[in-house]
Amino acid sequence: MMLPDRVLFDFFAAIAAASALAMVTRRNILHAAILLLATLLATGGIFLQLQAEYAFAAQLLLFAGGVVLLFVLVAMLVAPESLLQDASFNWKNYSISALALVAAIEIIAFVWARHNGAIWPALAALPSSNTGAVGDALFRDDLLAFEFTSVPLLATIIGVVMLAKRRTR
Amino acid sequence: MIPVEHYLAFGLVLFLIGAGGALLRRNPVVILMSIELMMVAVTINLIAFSRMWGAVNGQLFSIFIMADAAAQTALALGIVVACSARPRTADVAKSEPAEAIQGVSDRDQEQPVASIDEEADRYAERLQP
Repeated sequence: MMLPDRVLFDFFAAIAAASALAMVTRRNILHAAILLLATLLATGGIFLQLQAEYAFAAQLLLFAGGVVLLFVLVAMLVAPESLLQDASFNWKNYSISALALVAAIEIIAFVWARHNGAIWPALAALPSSNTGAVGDALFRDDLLAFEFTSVPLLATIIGVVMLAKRRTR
Repeated sequence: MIPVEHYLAFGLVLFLIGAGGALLRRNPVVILMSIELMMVAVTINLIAFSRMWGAVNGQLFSIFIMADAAAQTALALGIVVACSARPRTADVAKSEPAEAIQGVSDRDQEQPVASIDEEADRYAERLQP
């Protein structure tokens, strides 16, 4: 059985667009961070549908894991009142349910794609192992660009260290 | 197979939402989240083009974008924390999260709660005719 491509795309795109709109309009920073997480997860589903598994994994680890964690920590430091429970609307149950639904569908789709070939019709031109193809391109063909990525990372490290030193002095 | 225009339209919607948030909101943390959203929208375009041409170069660009976005978010959030005037500490021994969360103001902390004996003395004075 093949899930229609269109259904998956519409599902993930609707969740991503709705969460993004809610994220931008929310006054509470913590709510916005959770909605950003929902947007990133839904976008990861679209990456998976585009058969970019490596980008999907990087999206989950780097954005949904690291960046959203940073946002939540900063929200707790800068605006601790955002942790107060909003009694007027029980948004937590809704948002957590939506997140769990998106994550479950992504996991099921991924496992299904591993076991039953493809959940959506594949293009013949794509290499079978996405991670292998990306690794080949990253570390062999475009190694110089990959190495130059370390320059902004180094600048970031220096900047963060200077910020930290300025405060302790 | 979904035509690539659908992905472009979806990326455009996300980018416009992010741009609107970055331009209209005042909260620096929400502005940073909106910038993240714009970067993700660009990433969707790149990966859709990568799928369209059957090459992985677009995915490489998306990975570079992710690395730079994470780095700039970490630095920008550090600047936000450094610029926020709120008294704060990450030392778990000094921080009082319950009071911080409940928004106990500094006024309450300047007036320490009187001990039970002092309260009793004051009450006794008030009872004196």
